[in-house]
This record gives sequence, C-alpha cells and structure tokens, in this order.
Amino acid sequence: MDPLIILLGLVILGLCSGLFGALFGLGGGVIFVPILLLSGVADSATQAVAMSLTGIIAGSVGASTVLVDKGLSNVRLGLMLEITTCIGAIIGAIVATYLESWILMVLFSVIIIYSGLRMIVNPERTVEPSDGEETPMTFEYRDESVGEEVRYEVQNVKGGLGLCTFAGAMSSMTGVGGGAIKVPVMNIYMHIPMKAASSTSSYMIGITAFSGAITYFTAGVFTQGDLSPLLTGAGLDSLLPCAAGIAVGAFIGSLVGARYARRIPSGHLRKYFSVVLFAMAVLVLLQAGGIL
Amino acid sequence: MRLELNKATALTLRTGIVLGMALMLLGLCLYAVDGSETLLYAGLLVLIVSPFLGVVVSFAVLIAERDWRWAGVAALLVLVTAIGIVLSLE
Repeated sequence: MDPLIILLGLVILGLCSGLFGALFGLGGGVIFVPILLLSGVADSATQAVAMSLTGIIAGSVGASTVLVDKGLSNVRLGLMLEITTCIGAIIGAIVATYLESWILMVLFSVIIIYSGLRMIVNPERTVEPSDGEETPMTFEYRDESVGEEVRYEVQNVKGGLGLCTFAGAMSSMTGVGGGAIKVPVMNIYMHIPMKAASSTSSYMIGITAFSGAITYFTAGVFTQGDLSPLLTGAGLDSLLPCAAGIAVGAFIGSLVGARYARRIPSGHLRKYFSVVLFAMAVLVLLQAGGIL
Repeated sequence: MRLELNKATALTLRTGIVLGMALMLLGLCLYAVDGSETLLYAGLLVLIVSPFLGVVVSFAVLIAERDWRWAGVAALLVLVTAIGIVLSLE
C-alpha cells in the first residue's frame, strides 16, 4: 500500500480523536488502540498504545492552547486531581497483574453507563458561592454560549481526589479512559459545571499520557522493534512517521473541537457526553468479550 | 480573575506544540526525501514533554504569585509524576 494513504488514514484517525478530546475531555484510546491493531498499522498492543498516547498528547496540548488560555480549563484543580490520578495509575500498574482484565473492563463499562444515566436523569447541580466569600475552591470561567461569567464552588474535594485515584487505577489497568470516569466525577460528584469539567479533563489527559509516552519513547518503542507487514510493505522503516501523522491530525482536530467547545451550550455538551459514554461502554464490552 | 496562571501555562503549551508540529512536518518531508528520522525524533520528543513543561511553568508562576497552597500542589504533582516514570522504567 502507498505510504501516503496509510499516513492520510492516520491523520484522519488523529483528527477524530483530537475533536473528541477537545469537546469531551476524552482521550480516545478506546477507539484508537483497536483501530490501530485491526488495520494492521501497529504490530503489537504496545505500539498501538504508544501511538495512541502521542495522539492524546497532541490533542490535549492543542485543545489546551485554547481552553486553558480562555480560562475554561481549571489548571489548579487539574493539577490537584492529577496527583491522585497519577498515584492511582501507579497502584493500578502494580495490582493489574493480579486481576483479570475482562472483569475490570466490565466494571469500567458498568461505571460509565451509570455515569451516563445519572447525567441524563439528573439535571446539573452546581454550587454558586455566596457573595464576598472567596474560598480556595471558588473558581469562575466565561461561558461564550451565553456570554456570562459562571462562578462555581467545588464540592466534595476529598472524595473527588479519592475517586480520581480509582479512575487512574482503572485506566492504567484497562488501558482505557481516565477521562470517561473523571469528567462525571467532576461534574456529578464535585459539582463542577460540565464545560469546566470537560475542559479541565482535556488539559489533564495530556499530563497523564506524558508519563506513559515518555516511558515508551525512552524504551525505543517508536524507533526500534519489528514493524507490521503493512508498514514494511509500504516501505516504511520506522514508527515515527506514523506517530507524526496521528499527532498532526489530533492537533488540527483539537483546534476545531476547542473552538466548538467554547460555543456549545453546556446542557447540550452534557447530553452528548452521556451518549458518547454509552457508545464507549459498548466498545469496551466488545473488547472485554474478545470481539474487538 | 486569576488568569495569569492559565495564560502562562497556555503559552508554554502553545510553544511546545508549534515547535513539535513544525519539526514533525519538516521531519515528514525529510523522511520522504532521504529517510532521515532526526527531525521526526526531535519533534516527537518536544511534543511528548510539552504537557510536563506546562506543569513546571504552572509551578513557577504559582511560586512567583506566592500562592503557596497551589504551588505545593504543583510540586507534589511533579514529584508523583517523576516517581511514576522511575517505577515504570524498571
């Protein structure tokens, strides 16, 4: 196959993931990894994950140039929740060897279906701080869809930190979706407005992906090791051009997504997010059953 | 509104992604011409470390703002991330 066609396919794949990442705060590994494996671009799961992480970083950083800059992403909160997410990921990596991955994937699906239902059934509840009282957990952002400043006070901080540990552990054990658990935790449990929650997650997934990607990078996953017959057949002798293609696509997609994320009404975003969660649950269940 | 942190962090991320993308696009051209991987390699590395550089800059801004509580949070994140990487390298 012509290497340009493979590259173009990867750019398009990256584009979709960048769009999703910027809009919903989801990395898209759940769709990336199986596509990279099934299409024959990746020769091993490790290669697929490494390329997926590259796309996640490009999408997260691209979206953040808009969402962090405009104040939709809550950097302080993101840094804080990222601490326990990271601790969770470390714990998960240690515990994973003792657990069956299909059980975890089913558990993951149950959690995101529950989150999606909660988001459809229960209206969003955020806590507006009383005037003159600035607690360290009071934040605000400007909602471009209504042209207003939105102030909110983060609730259940300790519980939220705990749940992020769980989210980090789940995603390092199953390889999918920290964002799919974290966004509902932020929105439903910590009462952070949906837009701030998804934008903060968009920012955070880049930091999470960094830890994994740098390990793969230094281990030589991108430069050494056998390539799939598809790539060698196309005359490629390295994974680097493929990773670059995905990254370029994800970057472009994230800029489009972030532009849209600023303008979309918060209620719509929440509704679409729950639909995406259901679709994700189906994908993960298919993977758990060995079909995907 | 406390937006300096966001502006500085976003600027770091923008610098990282623009540089990374430029290197990768040039790298793709160079790879097509003579199979050289140097620029692709450099571009990928710049891209990968960008989110972490963002955290480091956030930390510096919080220190400069004497926002000790959140500077502590950023410092802890740098520490935990470093521990995670060291453990996974073994």
